[in-house]
Amino acid sequence: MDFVILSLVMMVIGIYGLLTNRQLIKVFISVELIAIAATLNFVMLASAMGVGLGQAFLILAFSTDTAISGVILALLVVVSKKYGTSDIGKILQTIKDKDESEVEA
Amino acid sequence: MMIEDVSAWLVWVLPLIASLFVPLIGKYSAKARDYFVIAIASVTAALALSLVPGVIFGDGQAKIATISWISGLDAGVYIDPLAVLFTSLVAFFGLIITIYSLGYMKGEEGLTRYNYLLLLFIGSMIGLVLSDNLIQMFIFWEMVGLCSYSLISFWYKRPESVKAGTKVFIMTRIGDISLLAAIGILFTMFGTFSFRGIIDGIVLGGFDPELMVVVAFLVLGGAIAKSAQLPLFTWLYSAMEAPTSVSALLHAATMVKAGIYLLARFILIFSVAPVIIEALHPLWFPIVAWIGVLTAIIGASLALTTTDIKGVLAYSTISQIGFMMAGLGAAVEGAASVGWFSSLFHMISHAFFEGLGFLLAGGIIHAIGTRDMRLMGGLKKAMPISFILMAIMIITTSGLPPFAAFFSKGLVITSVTETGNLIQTILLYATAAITFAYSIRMFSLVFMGKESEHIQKQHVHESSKIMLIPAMVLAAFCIIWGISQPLIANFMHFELEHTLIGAFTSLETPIFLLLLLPTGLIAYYTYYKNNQTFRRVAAGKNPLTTMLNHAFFFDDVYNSIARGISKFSDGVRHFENTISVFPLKFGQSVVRIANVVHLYFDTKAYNSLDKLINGLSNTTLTGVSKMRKAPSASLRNYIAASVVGFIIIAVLIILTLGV
Amino acid sequence: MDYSLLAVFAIPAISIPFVYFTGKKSNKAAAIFVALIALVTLALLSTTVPAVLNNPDHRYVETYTWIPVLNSSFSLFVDGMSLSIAMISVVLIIAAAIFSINYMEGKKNVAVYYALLSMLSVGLVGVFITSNLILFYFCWEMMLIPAYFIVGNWGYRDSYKAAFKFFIFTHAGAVFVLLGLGALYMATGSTDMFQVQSALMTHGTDIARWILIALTGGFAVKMAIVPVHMWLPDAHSEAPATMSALLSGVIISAGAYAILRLSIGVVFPSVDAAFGVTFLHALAIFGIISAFFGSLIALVETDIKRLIAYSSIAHMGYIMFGISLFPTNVTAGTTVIVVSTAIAGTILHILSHAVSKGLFFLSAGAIMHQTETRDIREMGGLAGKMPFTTVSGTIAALSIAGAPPFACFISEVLIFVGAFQVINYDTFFLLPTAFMLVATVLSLAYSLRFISRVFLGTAKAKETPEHKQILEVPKYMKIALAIMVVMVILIGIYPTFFLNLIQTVQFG
Repeated sequence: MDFVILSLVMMVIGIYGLLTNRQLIKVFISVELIAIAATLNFVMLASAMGVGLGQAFLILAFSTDTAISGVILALLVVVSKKYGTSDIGKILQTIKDKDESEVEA
Repeated sequence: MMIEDVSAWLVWVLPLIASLFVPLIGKYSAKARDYFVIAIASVTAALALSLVPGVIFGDGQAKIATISWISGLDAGVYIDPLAVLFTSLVAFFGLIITIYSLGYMKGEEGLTRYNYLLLLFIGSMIGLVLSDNLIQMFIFWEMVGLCSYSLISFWYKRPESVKAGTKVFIMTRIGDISLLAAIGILFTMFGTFSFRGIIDGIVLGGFDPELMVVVAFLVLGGAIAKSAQLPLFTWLYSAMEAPTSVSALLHAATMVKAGIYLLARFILIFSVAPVIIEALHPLWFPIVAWIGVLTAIIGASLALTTTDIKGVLAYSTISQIGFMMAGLGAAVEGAASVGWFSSLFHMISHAFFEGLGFLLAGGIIHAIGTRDMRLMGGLKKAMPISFILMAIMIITTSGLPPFAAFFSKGLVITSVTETGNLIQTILLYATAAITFAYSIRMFSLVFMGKESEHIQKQHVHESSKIMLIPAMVLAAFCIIWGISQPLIANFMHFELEHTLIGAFTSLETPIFLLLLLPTGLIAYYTYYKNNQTFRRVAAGKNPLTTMLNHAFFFDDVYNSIARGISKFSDGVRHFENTISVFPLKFGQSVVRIANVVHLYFDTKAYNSLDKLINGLSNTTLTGVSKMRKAPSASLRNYIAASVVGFIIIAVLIILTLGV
Repeated sequence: MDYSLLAVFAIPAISIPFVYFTGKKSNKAAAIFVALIALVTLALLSTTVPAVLNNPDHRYVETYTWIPVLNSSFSLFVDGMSLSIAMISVVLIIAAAIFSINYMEGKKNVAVYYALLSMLSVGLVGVFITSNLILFYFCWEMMLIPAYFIVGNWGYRDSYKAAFKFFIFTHAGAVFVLLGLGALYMATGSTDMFQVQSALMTHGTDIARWILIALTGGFAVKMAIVPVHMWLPDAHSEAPATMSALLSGVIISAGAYAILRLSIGVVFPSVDAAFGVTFLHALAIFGIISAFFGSLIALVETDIKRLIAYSSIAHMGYIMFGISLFPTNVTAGTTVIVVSTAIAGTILHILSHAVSKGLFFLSAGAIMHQTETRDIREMGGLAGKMPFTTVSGTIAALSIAGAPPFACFISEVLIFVGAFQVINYDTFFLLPTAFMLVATVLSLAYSLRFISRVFLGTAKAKETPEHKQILEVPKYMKIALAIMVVMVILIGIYPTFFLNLIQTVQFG
């Protein structure tokens, strides 16, 4: 039971981080936190039920997660290099301005 | 038997399928398309006529032929006298109007669409009366309404036509849902849609007669809407926006009679079990009769004050159909009573004279370019043939002997009298008198007197031959049709006790003529001789004229209902727009709360936490760098480091394993 | 063993990257590729028709083992209802793909659009052909993501906001569905629909009520029943026309199908009779509210696509009303309820609404494409300039209004006739049926208003230079519209094909 609360707390922290942060990397960390929380939940409940399925799922989820993280980090690097900033608001603004200037042009 | 089956199917399938070819042929040649339409109409009329001998020499019972269509429901034809009567009427008028349209609609744009819709209508209307089950009949019922909408808004560039078409469709839809409810209840009661199945179910018994009364009322609702009776009659006047050929075909001769067909068919079905007729006695029959009578007199009085020539004919139609409804309401013994027959007989003669009126009105409108009777006058000189034909029409409308309506209207009034309801009879006589009056009014305003300025400005000539010949055919029928009363009775296998001679010698005829005389004289003086006193009364501002000019305020009520619904919908939309931002606001407030927490919590705690972490990391780093600087080759340092590591691990193991 | 259903799943899924690469080269080729894949899917689905019609239990099932170690397997199945809806969905996808050839011209990243369309079709058809609850949920959620991107990227005005609203709402609904499905698994220990259904009757009866409410609530969000309809007007009106047609035609029909299949089919037999009857009554009330709400707002709406969107809400109200007419007068213990007139009408209405609404949205998209305006007050007299679109738009509007010989007429008649059969043993439905009949008059009113404002009347008096040049729609749009018109008229005149399939459906 306590461990479910642990994963719940982790998820809440992750959601809070998602809502409040504007830096790309911080958003990514929050998302990873949520994913870890969900996986932790699986493992905890599976071990509480005495099934080995949780550990198996953990390995699966982790490997997928790692691959995803690699791709996302690469994308984040490219985006921040392209727009020169890591702030989501500023990036969206740049895109919107570019779209509008294209429409006018 | 074989020919009959085939022609019973073809007579409605042919126009339906042929209508699909009209756009194809119309693309290549307009003339070919016109001839094609007339050919199809002629073949349809011939097919309809071919059904007649079978009925005359048959036994008056229905012949049915079906093919399977949807699982559980077969499509079929139901060939009995009632159906063939209507079929011949529709097919005949279809032919007349297609020929007339050649002249009337010459030079109009969109003729391909017009002809397509005409054929579609003819097929649908015949399909309606020949259907052998309720679903098929309802399909054609709706399709006829659809054709009516499309044809009324034929000149779609005029906003009035479009508005009129919409209004007509919506008002008749109200009747359609009533009919649908009736069909639903019948299916629940008998488990079948076909007429044969329902009749068998009724004969079997075991149903609730009160429920049948409910069904009868719902059917009445459908009939009222389609046949423009009280209180849903105002659409017929709006429908005059259609081309006059359409008005003649749909709104005089055939489509508005669909309600009468529906009621006649249902009375025929109900007559199978006298217990139903008994149940219908107290409420249903009287209400039908009253609706008919009231509509008749309201329609006639409105015809007296309208200034639109097609309006006179529209209100006249409403009034005459009121007569038919009164006849059906008087059919208190079911389909064996004279009211049932008289209503159908009057239906046919009405088709002739009203159709004639519309054909002539079309010619007049075509020639002069206006529908307003105040701009007309003295047309006798310019259009002599129309003058004579119109004279025949108004003599017939008024019911003067020996033209058709004398016998048919007389029979209707006789049937109502025979039920013993005195007030209804008096009202019907009064209606007949007003009918005479408005006929004379229309005739005088349009044809008599000296030529109005409007006419003098234009060069008015008589209608073309192709428009006059159908009118002449109808006029001929008006004159001689009355004599066919016993023949039609024979055709319908109906036992008619009233004879033609009886019509002349009964008590009603002198009463009738006596009533007509003073009204005729008043009308004559007002409109023909232009007597100023009467004119001033007619034009005056008393409550009677206000009511009449506003069509008894029915339309105003309907318009305000429509406006009310619109306003309510606006309110609903406003409500929807206000509350649909709530989820968004909810989401935004969550984000805002998080940001507030972030601002408060993180910035405050952040600094101290930051300092702590920074301090920790700094000491670690400086410690590390210090350790780096030390010569690492010394053995003593190695031993010291390993001892420190061993102590730390031992502490950890003790802590976790609890030794 | 026959692999048709697996192929129906696999072929569109495999084709996604190929579609993308074809799309990079040519817009038209990608669209035709998507249409061809959909055609293949349609053919595969039709091969199962004889099996559905002739099998004793009227289902066609394929079972596959998935993880042999865990002994888990999943099965794909079709019965009359899911087969007909799936086939109609595929036809709509074909029409949408062909329509996109002209509609998406000049827009950016069109290759991604076609790939997303393929992805959508996998989820879309997948919902109808699976009997495994997990797979069902997977496909259900899989419909959301391409929809979000298509609406957001290629939509009008504030499209990402509308797409986001759509996503959040339907996802929230899906969470309820997940709760329900999880509870089902917990109660019965199985994830196959049919096993769950029989198991639930024996040991799940007390929790069945909550499962029913959760599932229906989640599906109702997808179906856009008032009061959880709020995502629909924005999403449907800001989406590109092809997506609107798919959203309104198929995706919300998926909600209706899910209620019929899962709520009514799987869970309903297990609730006690009194609760079941009350539940159905509540469904009827929600249906009526939706029908009136949608029709009334459509009567005064001036944005062409929002009008049609509200009309969708109204028709989902009809379908909900039809679902509430599920027969409850069968004696407890009979396990097979063959579909009654009302339910047959409801399923047929799902089909006819899908094709009519698809046609309606495609016509509206064509009109918007040619006239570059979306306010119907600026339209008028289009009949002269765009005759083909006028005919297709009028047919769509009249079908929505329920006029013969078009599709929705026969389905509405069946629903109403069935309603009277239900009134025979449950008089509660008398007033709702009367209200629904009035609602049909309202739908006629807004359809006629649409026709007269947009197509009839004179061209607006301004006659601006742009207005003068309004041309007829290009070729491929015409082909797509023609396909839908044929479907509408076909279902209207000869619904036997689909009715035969529908009447074989068994619940329980």
